[in-house]
Amino acid sequence: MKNNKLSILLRGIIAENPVLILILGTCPTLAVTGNVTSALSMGLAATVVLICSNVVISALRKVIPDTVRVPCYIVIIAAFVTAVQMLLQAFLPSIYEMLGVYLALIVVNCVILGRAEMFARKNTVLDSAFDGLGMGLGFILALFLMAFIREVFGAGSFMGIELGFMQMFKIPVLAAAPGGFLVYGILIAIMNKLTEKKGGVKKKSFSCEGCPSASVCTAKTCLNNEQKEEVENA
Amino acid sequence: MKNIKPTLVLSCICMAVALILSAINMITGPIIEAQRNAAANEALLEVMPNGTGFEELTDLASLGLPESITNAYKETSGNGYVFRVVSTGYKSGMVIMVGIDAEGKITGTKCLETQDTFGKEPQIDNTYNGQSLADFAPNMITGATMTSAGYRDAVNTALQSFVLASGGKLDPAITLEGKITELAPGFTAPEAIETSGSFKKILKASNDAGFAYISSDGETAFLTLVSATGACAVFDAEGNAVTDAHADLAEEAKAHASANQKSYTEDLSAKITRLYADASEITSIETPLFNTVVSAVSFKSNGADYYGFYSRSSGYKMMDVYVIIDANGAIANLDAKAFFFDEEYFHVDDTVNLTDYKNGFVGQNAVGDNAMISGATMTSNAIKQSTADAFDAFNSVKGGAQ
Repeated sequence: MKNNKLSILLRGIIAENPVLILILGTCPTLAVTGNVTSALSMGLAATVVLICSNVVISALRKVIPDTVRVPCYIVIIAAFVTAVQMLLQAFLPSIYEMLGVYLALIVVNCVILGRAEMFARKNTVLDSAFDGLGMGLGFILALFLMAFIREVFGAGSFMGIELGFMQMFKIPVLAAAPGGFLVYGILIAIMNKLTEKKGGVKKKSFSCEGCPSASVCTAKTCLNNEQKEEVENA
Repeated sequence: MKNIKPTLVLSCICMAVALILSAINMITGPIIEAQRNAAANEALLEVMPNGTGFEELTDLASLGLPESITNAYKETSGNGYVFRVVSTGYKSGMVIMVGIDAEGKITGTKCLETQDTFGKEPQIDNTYNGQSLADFAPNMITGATMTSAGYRDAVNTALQSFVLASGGKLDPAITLEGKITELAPGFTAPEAIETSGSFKKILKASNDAGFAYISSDGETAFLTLVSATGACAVFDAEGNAVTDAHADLAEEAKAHASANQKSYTEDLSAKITRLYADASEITSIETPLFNTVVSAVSFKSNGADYYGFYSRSSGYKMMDVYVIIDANGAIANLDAKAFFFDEEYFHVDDTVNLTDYKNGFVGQNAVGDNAMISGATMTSNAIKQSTADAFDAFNSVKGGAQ
């Protein structure tokens, strides 16, 4: 049993890392990884929301009818995000200023909605909490890694403290938006290479099943719609 | 029936969420509000470091504050006021914060916004600290006269506004000082000089067009103007002429002026004799105006009557303009000590034939637009002003006192 919990926790950190394997939450990842401080704050804020929403959604999983579950999830997630937002604004205003609009955008962070859909609605409260914690740690880790590379090698500083010896060798583009994509791509490539050697990750969650709309989506209609569009465009 | 449960569940979740969020808001709301105020007060604290809280005054007009005061804040523990003043330096839109403590002393000044390009404002910031309306001394920075003047005016306005905002009344002498340019438009940039006799303050026009004397006992104040051509008038606080009732002030002012006035008559006479070799009976005349004319004479040449006016008006530089007008009121000659066309920004001297330009005025009996040289607007405007003032002076002499 304990082993099971540990594996849920660890899965989120490496094997199913939301950012580097599941490719979820890309927008905040690219936006806030310009420096380590904002990346860590963003990671922490998202983790808090993720754990709380996972717990509440899991607790209510028998109450919430299937047909309205996505609106319900969004309301719950939005509530936690708003709460975090208000608390940060009141008690840590500098972090609130730094994260800006991306804080509010946690509501639509795919990691959170994705975990609600993929995990919390099918598992117990405790398991969901561990899943949230694992995914959150994975999110923080990925963000930290990206921000570390971008800030140290791009801006020649670490958590806002200037590193003297890096000033000569810094690559400013890494700190800019294109550098975000570049670092992200390279990290995903490295992650793929590493997991490949172990026999590859079963990308179960990465396929259609990982899509929040998977349960209401029939591939057939998708195809039909595509075909329809093709016909219309032609 | 099938749809009722989902609707109910979603509504319940929404309501629960709303309740929880409003509870959190009750805790964080006041803290956030306090932080917002603190951020807004930061600029105020910079000019009033020992302020604790600020309350913005509404309805500034009813307090009688001038329009250039855009915001006024009262320190909540009674430590004074902070004023946000919009002034004009070289360009308009200079925003200056001035903090004044309960005793009327400046606690700090800071320029928040400026359009002037020299960037000298930080050098003036906080240099007025400790001054009050009584010992106000302008801080003029060399090479940034306009900026310094804009800053000086802003601080002065704030000091006056402090008196009004704290329920006091301004010494009418201060209001009168502001009326000088209105009553004596030719007195360019009056500057305070050493006072004497019963006058509280004496100001000298920088173009030597005359003197302004302010006398006040704190309740009633008078402004006495004496022009370089001998005109003298006394005005009360409302700007009404009260010369007859206060002849003593007029006499005293005249005496001071005649002892201190720089005379331009000799210069004008010399110019006239150069222009009219047979000029005779050059006599100084008095004009009852307070314009840019610093000397006026009448003379005869070739059997005809002429009037000569020496006007000093400020353009790109101070312009010394001679205007000779014949008995019919037409310009017979116009010249200046120096035309600054070549020194203005566009250096238009190559395109201007000075002889043609000067001759262009001859025969005019009213101000025309031929004074205007494109590319030398400042100088052109000064010449136009001088001709206008010469015509006014001529008319006042010919048509009797206005």
